[in-house]
Amino acid sequence: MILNTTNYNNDRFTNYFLVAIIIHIVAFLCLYISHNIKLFNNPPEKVELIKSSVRVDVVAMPKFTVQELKKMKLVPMSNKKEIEKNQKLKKEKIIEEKVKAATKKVNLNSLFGNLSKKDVVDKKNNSKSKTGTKKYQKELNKLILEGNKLSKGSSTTGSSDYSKSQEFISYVQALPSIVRPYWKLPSYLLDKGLRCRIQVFISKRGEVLNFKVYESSGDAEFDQRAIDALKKVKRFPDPKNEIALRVASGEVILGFPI
Amino acid sequence: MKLILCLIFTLSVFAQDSLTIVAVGEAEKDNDKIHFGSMGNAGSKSKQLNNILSIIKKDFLFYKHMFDLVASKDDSTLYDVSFKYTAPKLKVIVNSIKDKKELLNKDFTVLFNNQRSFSHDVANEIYKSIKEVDAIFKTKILFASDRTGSRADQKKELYIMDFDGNRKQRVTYENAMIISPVISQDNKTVLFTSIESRWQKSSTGKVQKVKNPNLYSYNLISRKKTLIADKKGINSGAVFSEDGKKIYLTQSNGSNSDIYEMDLKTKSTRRITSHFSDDVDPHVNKDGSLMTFLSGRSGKAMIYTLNPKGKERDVKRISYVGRFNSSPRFSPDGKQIVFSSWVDNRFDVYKIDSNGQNLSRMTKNFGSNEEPWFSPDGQFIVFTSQRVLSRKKAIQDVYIMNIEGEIVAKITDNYGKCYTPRWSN
Repeated sequence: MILNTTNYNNDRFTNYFLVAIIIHIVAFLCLYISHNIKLFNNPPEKVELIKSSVRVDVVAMPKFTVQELKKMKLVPMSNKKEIEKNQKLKKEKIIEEKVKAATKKVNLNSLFGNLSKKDVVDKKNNSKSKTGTKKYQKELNKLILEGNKLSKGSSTTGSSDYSKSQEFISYVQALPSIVRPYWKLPSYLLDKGLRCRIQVFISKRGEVLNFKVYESSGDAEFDQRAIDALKKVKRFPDPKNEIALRVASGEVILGFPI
Repeated sequence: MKLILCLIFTLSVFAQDSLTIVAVGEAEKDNDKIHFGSMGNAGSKSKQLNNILSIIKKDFLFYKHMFDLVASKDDSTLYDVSFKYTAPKLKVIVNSIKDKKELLNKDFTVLFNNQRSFSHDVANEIYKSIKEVDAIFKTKILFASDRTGSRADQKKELYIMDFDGNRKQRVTYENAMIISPVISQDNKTVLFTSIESRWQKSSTGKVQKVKNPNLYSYNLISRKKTLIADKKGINSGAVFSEDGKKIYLTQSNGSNSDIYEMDLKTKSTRRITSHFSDDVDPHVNKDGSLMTFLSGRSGKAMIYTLNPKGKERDVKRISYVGRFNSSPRFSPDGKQIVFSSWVDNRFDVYKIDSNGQNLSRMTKNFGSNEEPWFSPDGQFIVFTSQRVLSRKKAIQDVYIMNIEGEIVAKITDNYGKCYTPRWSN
């Protein structure tokens, strides 16, 4: 008798379970259709769009010319690294020279004289390293940060991995400035209002492992230009260990232009 | 049951998937690559034909923000220009390599005695076949120069030259100080102000010699000069209306300056600005619906716009910064205004949208830069740049920059101090 009831209950449970599953599947399909999402295109449920913005309050005449601003934009990350490397090498050379100078036997007067000269050289080198592209880049970064100040936000959900997600967001935000110098279109494609999105898989060492056209513009040449821009980037910055998996698994999509 | 569980698992995977899209931003413009073929062997005419080709190429170099001239064709070349000379005609063929389409196939009768003009014509036809608009190659620039005057006896006369600074010609022989010239839409008439001395009765009844800026029109074909306005005070800064039948000018009538519209036939005037502060330097957009001008109504010389069809109608302040702004000029499409502003003890050229948005700097560390004026195709800005050589000596020349702020050419050199360059249409 007990066994019978159990069988009866099990059958009933299975029936209700099946009905519930069917209802869920139907509802799920309706949701997909209503949102016009392609089911077989591996659609993401959470798509976050990150944009960099610059807010400028005009309080004085602009300091930089159109040409200067353009040059700032065109300094790719790989070049910046080279510049930093060169600066490091320069500093090391100066230190070496200082050590050499210190080991030489000199009289007190010439020592003071040389020291003051070295100070001037040192200051000159420092000022040189501060000027030029790095200085402009700093100014531009400052401007961009002005437009990307943290705000309270309106989301009612959140993750406990706040710092991790911040790390990921700041990494992702750094990518456009690296790709942008290579993102060029001929005049006949510029004003067509096209858009394509490319999913990018970046290794721990910042190399592009793979990429996939996630959303085509419909114009093969436009898509190819976006891919070419990506290919021209020798290396992206190394992602930190805590976000490396997300970056390598293709969580990042680059929007050309958005 | 297993199938259902698999389905649930798949759905949960979909639900967990997360992607982050980041915008790379608008693409930079990649210049169109254009290849110019050779003139071939044309016997005794080879040298002259090569000179023509050289001028055509130099013309295209002005558009270096749009075209890259390549020495040989490859996959990235967009346009190919080829020439074939069969006396007395030069066949010019322009092919769009990408579209596999012939854009131009035209025979030109070669003017060997006027190679420069001929080359500009051909260059313009080539450009037009690609961009479907005229280039600047056939345009001219009118300007004033003090080269005939001296320190003690300062004079400025009007001159005209090709867009590239070649073939300079003197226009006026007024033996006077000429300022604020402008060319009509049909390039036939010039308006200018001449500062002239005249005898005038003062308030005490004493007759004395005073200088007065009077407005004249000058027909470039008949070389006939006509007095337009000689009212007491300022009669200056005139520009033509969109149909060329009216002009907008600044008149002071002995008190503060205001902007007036004048019918060129009847000489009747209509007041456009009416403010206790000075309003000067008007310029109208192509359809005549918007005027930009300079006014001190905020306490500083700032740029404003208004509807010139009325009086003080829809006045809008455009600039809010700068110690002293001057010479606001519309771009041909009326969407932008270029002007100069006094910053760090010198003038520099700036650009702003006609609605007051997107202020951008065009020049810096390049002397003192004034009097900007757009080219008729809106791709270039002509302006003067001054270099102070010593306490007593300074040079001022005319330069051209493209709309991206890149200096393209210096078009006057050792031609006196040059002022107020105005591009023909």
